[in-house]
Order: sequence, then C-alpha cells, then structure tokens
Amino acid sequence: MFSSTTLRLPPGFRNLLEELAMEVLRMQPPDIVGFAAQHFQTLLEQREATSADPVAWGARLEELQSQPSSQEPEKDKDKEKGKEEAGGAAPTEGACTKLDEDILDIPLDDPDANAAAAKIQASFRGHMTRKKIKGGEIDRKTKDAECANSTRGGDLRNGD
Amino acid sequence: MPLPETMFCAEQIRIPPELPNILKEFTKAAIRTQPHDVLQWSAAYFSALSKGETLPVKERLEMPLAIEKTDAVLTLGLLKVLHKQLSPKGMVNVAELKEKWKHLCLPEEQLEAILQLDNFGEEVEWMKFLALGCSVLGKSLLSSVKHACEILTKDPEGGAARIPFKTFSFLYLYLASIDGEIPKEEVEAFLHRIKEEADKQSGMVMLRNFLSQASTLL
Repeated sequence: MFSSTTLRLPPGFRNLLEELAMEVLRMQPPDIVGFAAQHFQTLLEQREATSADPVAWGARLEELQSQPSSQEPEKDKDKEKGKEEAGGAAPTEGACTKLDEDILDIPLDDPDANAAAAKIQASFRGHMTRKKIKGGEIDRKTKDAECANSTRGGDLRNGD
Repeated sequence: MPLPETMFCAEQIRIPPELPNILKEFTKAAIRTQPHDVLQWSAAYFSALSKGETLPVKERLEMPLAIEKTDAVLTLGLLKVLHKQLSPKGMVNVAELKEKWKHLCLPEEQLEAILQLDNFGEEVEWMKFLALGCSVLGKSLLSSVKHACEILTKDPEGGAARIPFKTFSFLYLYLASIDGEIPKEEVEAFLHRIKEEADKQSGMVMLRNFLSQASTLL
C-alpha cells in the first residue's frame, strides 16, 4: 500500500499543468491565480460544450509514454498521425521531416527525452489552437523555423 | 526542432517569480487529493484560491479503502474538506453545498440521497449535514458518530479524537432521531453514561468512551 505507485499524479494532470505554465508564460498575466481560474473555467466550459477533454487526452499520452521502449517507434508514428489529424497541418510538412530526423537521435528510453517530448507536444497543441484562433501568422512561423534550427530549442527545454 | 510561433529565445522568457510556487502547491494538492475529475477540480482549486476561500484539498493522501477506485463516492477525507470549507458558515445554502460537492467530483445523486434523509429547505445546518454525511460512511449509529468525532476533533489524527460532550450529544440525538428506531430511554441512558465519563475528562468525549459499548448499542 505504501509503494510509490500510490503517490502519483492523477492521470492527465501533467498535461493540464504544462499547458497552464505555458499559457502563463505566454500571457504574463499580472494576477496568475485569477488567470489560472479563468483558464480552467474556459477549459471546463469547452469540455461541456464540445466534449473535447484535455484530461483524457493527457492521460492517453501518459499511457503511451509509459509503455515499454520496444513499442516506441510505433508510438511515435501514432503520435505523428495524431498531430496531423488534430491540426490538418500541411504547412508544417517540412518541419515534420526535420522532427523525424531528430527523433532518430533521441534515446527513446531516456525519461528526459520523454519529458521533453511531452512538452513539445503540449506546446504544439497550444500552437495549433492559437493558430486556429488567430488565423495564420506566417511571418512569425518562418522566424520560428529558423529559431528552431539553431540550438536554442535545446536551451529552452532545459531552462523550462 | 520546430517550436511554436510564440517561442522566444530562452533569455526572453520572463518567469514570474511566484509562478513556480503556485505550480508546486497546485501539484502537491493534486497528489494529495487525487481528484476524480482533474479538470473540474483544478477549476475549483484556482477559483477558491483567487477568492481566498478554503481550498478543495485533502490534508493528506487517502488510501482507497477497498472501494472501486473508478467510482467517485464520499469519503472521510472529502467530508473533512467540505467541513473545512463550509462549517464556518453554520448555516449552508444548498446551492453552495451543491457547488462544493461538485468541485470535489462527487456525484449529485449521493448528495440528493443525503439531503432526503431530513426535511431541509434552502438552507442546511452544517452540523446536521455533517452528521448525515457520516451516517453514509458508517454502518451503525456509533460508527457514524465516530467518523464525526474524527472530523471535528482538534486532536492529532489517530489520537483520542476528543470532542465536547455538547457536540457529541447533539450528533447522537440528531442521528438517533433520524434513525427513529432506538427507544428514547436507551438514548438517554447512553448519553447519561457518556456524560459521566466526559465530566471526568474536562467535558470531552473520547472515542473509547463509546466505542467499547458498540456491541450493546447499535
């Protein structure tokens, strides 16, 4: 009963937490707590209206990541597919190939790499949502691609 | 690696100094409370935090006691959270109770079932609701009172769980009246015995004062 398995985060919590942190860093609200209350209230209303459940999504992601490393390649493919479906993202095609190359360099059983992957996926989701809201801002995107090609992507992850 | 459009260079990201602590406390609360519906609970957590209300957080992790983990049901830990949130009010509006209930991801049917045990109007006397909540947790009248003592006591957990005799007799009389099957003389004799014990203990009732009699007086 007192093993570490009982002391764990509720399923899907990590995704919520990461998304909240991301939104706070992005919006820099003066009142973080009030902002967070609003943030979750919006998510709750969205879930009630559309049955899009970020918790179920996050829980599934965690499940996939906790699977043994022998299934990793398949898992990555699944995720890619999921992303493409979610975003319908034709313009990111070039970026995806780059991602595939990068994946080959990542030790798949490394927990740090997995954590990083989760972060990237969370940010990607945020990115797609924002894109939907704002409409495409192509200029900034290209700038990002440059930024991503530099080594700063790694710095970001570590400093997060 | 492709990062989203708003990613700046690392040096440009301003991390609000209070953010790490907010996230840390939020995470610790989630681990301790293990909410059934994380999103609903997170919204309630920050809503309470922003309004300066008592947080919907358990004091400690509660081991699932042979109850199917997937079902959200009232537990001692959750009732204690509600107690901390609502008892300062004395009288609680049913609508507010419903809201707090929902925030802890508890099913509305269970609340309705508890409220039906007595004829409450728009407002509920908190101590009565607490007693009825305990009656859901306990199988007998005395085990219900035991749960209530554990919630109400100022003693450390696992201690004697002392509560004032006045509170004890209120809970006992109320639950006995809801039960309706215990003869009046028996109730009075029981309370009389407990009062004698309590008088020796500066007016406080301990669990062992009445639990030893559990077999004779259910």
